[in-house]
Amino acid sequence: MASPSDKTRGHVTCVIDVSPEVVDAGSEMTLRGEVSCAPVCDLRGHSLLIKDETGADRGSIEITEFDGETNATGEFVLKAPVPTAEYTWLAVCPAVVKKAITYAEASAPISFTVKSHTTSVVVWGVPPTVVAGERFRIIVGIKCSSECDLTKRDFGIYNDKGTQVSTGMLPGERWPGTGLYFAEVELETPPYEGLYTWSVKSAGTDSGMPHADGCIDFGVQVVNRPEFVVTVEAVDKESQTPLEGARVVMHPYRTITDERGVAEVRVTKGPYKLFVSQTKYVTFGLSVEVTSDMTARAELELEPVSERN
Amino acid sequence: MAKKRDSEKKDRTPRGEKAVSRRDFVKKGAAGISAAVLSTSGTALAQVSPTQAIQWNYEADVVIIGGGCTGLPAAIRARDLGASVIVVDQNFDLGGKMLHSGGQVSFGGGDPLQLRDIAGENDREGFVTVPRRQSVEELTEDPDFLFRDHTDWSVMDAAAQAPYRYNERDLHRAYADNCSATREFLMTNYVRFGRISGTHGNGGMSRARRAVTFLMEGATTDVKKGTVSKKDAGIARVSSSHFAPRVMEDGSFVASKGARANGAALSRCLEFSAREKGVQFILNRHMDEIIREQQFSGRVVGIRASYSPRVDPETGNRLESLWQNGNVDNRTETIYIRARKAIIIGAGGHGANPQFRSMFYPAWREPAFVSSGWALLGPRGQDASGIIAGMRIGANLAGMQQNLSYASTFHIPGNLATRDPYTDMLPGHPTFSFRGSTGINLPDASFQHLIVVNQVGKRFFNEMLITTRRAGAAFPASPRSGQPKSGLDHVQMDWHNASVENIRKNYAEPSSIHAALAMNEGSKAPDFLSGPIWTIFDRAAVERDKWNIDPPFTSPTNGFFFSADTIEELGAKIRRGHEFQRVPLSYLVETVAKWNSYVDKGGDPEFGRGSDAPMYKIEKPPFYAATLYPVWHDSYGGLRINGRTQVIDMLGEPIPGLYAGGESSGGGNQHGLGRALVHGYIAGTNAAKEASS
Repeated sequence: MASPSDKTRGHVTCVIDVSPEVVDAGSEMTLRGEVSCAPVCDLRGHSLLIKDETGADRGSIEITEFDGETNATGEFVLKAPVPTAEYTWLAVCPAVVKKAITYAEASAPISFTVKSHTTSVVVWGVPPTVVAGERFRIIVGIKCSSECDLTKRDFGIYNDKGTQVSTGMLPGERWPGTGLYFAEVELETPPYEGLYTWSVKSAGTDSGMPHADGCIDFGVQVVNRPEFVVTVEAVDKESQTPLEGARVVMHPYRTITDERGVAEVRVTKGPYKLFVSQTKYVTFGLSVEVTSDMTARAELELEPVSERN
Repeated sequence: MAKKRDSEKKDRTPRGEKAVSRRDFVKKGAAGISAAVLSTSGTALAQVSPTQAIQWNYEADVVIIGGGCTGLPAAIRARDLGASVIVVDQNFDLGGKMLHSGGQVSFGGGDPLQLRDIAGENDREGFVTVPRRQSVEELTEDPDFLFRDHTDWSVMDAAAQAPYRYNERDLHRAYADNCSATREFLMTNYVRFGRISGTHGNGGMSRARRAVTFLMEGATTDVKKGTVSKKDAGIARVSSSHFAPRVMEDGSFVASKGARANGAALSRCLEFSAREKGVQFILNRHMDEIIREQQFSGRVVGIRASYSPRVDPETGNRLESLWQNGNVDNRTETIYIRARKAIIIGAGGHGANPQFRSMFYPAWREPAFVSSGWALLGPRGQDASGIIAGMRIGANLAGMQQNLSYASTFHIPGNLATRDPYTDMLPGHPTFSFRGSTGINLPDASFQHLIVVNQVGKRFFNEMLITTRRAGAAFPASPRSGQPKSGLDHVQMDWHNASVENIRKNYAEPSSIHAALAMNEGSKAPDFLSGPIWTIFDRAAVERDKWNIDPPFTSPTNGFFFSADTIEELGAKIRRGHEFQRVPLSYLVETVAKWNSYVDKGGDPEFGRGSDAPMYKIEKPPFYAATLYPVWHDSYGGLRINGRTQVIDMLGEPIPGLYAGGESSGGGNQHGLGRALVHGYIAGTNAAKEASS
């Protein structure tokens, strides 16, 4: 520390920004340093030395910017260690003499945490309802947070009691437009109606890199065989023209209208809220009690265009 | 005419030295001057006595701050009365917020358009040929009637706010008395209005007063002939233009086939007329200070203004105004402009100043959220500088609570993936690159396909109601807007309007905006900012409801739209890529899982989804996040002005030579353009008649 009486000594403070602070094992992380001196000095051309937890050199970052007060380094990208742990490395700013002032060596901690790669599991394509005892298909997608190759990675499907009901393996194909490895799986429905929470689990591997297990829940809506047909006709209220592709929902049943604006929803008996919804139209809603085959006409109004002032 | 008084040489003050050189200047010429008072920003206020000590760069009879809805009519009016006029504007182009407005102008009191429609006449040019849209009775009134409407204590809106009760009475008397003259004035300055239809927000409950400005689509844009080219008018969902930052809308139902309507038809026509009449414009010039003889006494004598160019982030070129005649291009850091007769503040409101607006609502200290027209007006637009400059020299304020009495002062428009969700600008306007995306504009029903989360990834409101806002209180009234009676049945000053019974019955404040601005797990002391709002949806939603999520509706780089293979990845991308995402979206994965389980169950126990529309799982990759930003649209509360639009000080006295209007002024809760145009007309009239100093 420079004392007011000693005008030949200065001191240096440095701060290191680590991004991300929690990093996947073996993945890239970026360091950037800020160095300020008292009295102010331009340290461009000098470098900060990076030392790991054992004191070994991991490289150096050159100071490239000086705004008249503070010095800054460029970005320095390096690979994180593989063992998962909390790390504290050091950035060392060696002693330097500038304009007859000696700045003592300074250092700053570089703190970061190395974690296992995250395994994210996605499930889609589950039918909104499945009839008890029938088979159905789902799509399972899995991705590693560091985009590791997951070809041949296996996964299990577990029922609501935690019992494995099926297994699958990723053949290596990616779902279009994504980096997800995916597989289609056929499953057998439980024998009784009800909403079951099943899950897909993919155990982490230690193929050179630590991976955490991945898991996701998904609902399986098991219904008894529908007894009745509700025929829904969707039209534009003003023009009375049929609305093709309108979504017809009587939870948990859902379908869409055909080119005649007609949809047939097969349901079991009971009370429902019937929704018919279409882009740019106000959603049509109607409470119905289904006790036999029935028809409903949904006249949809265009949503008013909001006034911009 | 305005005269340049100084050489360019002197003007080359290096950047960053203005405060120093200013202090030096005050010191040098300071014989007999009281000590300079430090303003909040630390720069010295120029207190000058004698005023001759300042070396003015320019001078004119009337100096107007802001070339928008107050400034342009004021400039034209003052020129018409023989004054020389300089208008400074912080932006690179004229029009201010008027340019991106809907062009809806409510006057009344028996104005020439009401009379035109009552008589069943067409306009002189033959553009307005559709039949009148309101009955004779709905159009018949006089200034006294209008005055009562604008000061009606009894009107309560659907949020139990009183939009007329707190209006300044002297100001609204003058407003009522000048509406007819202002309508006439605008029409003689190339502005074309369609038929009167209803009344715009807070423009009165009892009569129809609103007309929209339009031009006819033609081969070329010709203000004199009243035409706009198809390209300049803009092509829906394809392109805006420099002429009209928002695509001009179909105005056939208020004029005739081929009419294109919005604020560009008002703004560009006034600008054209002002330039034609010899008004001078110093653009790229932000007013930083109004100079008065003494800080709290004497006349205002001029302004200090700094260079505020806007540079295209892609090309590096300075943005230039659409038209140049009358422009004075001065690139000096600081200039002084002397006003021989008067200064008029038409610098806009405070909607983009988080510190100022948080006086009304602390949650609005959140800097992420902007005022509408943000890209168009730039970082200095709507920054309250006109109001603050007035306050520094002793001006009083008025109507500071009236931000709460208009439904769209702040709200959540259903426009995703853009920072300014109010303004649906498309590529073609020079400021498009600042916003980067037009936005995915969704009708209310489309919100059934998504969920909305706060900065930590938690839902906070029924998404189907999130963009709902209450109706404004104007003609024709209805229970939806809080009124017991509708149309001509509304009774002015009737206590029934404000009865507890009526308010109970018609209260309909949706409150989603307040939930959006609420503190959450990511809000930190001292400001406890609420952070960004995100819509979360999946590929299936895009396919089902046929959304266009490609550029220019979204931008891959502006940080307001993300796609990812998993919800975890989506949260991480938002955290990394959005400027105002200060905390991780720690709850996002859990929120989506919970939502999907609600869809399976057919109901949402947290926020009541499922009773008004179907619910859909968020499950099919890729997954998307797009902002759903609240916007502060317009602002109320500002400098107190009297019926002559003179700025009033803390003792109730006019500050000699100083006028203000529009959003820089307070005490008028009328939404939109009518208020500012009348203020401009009155200010221009009175400013020109001031004695020269």
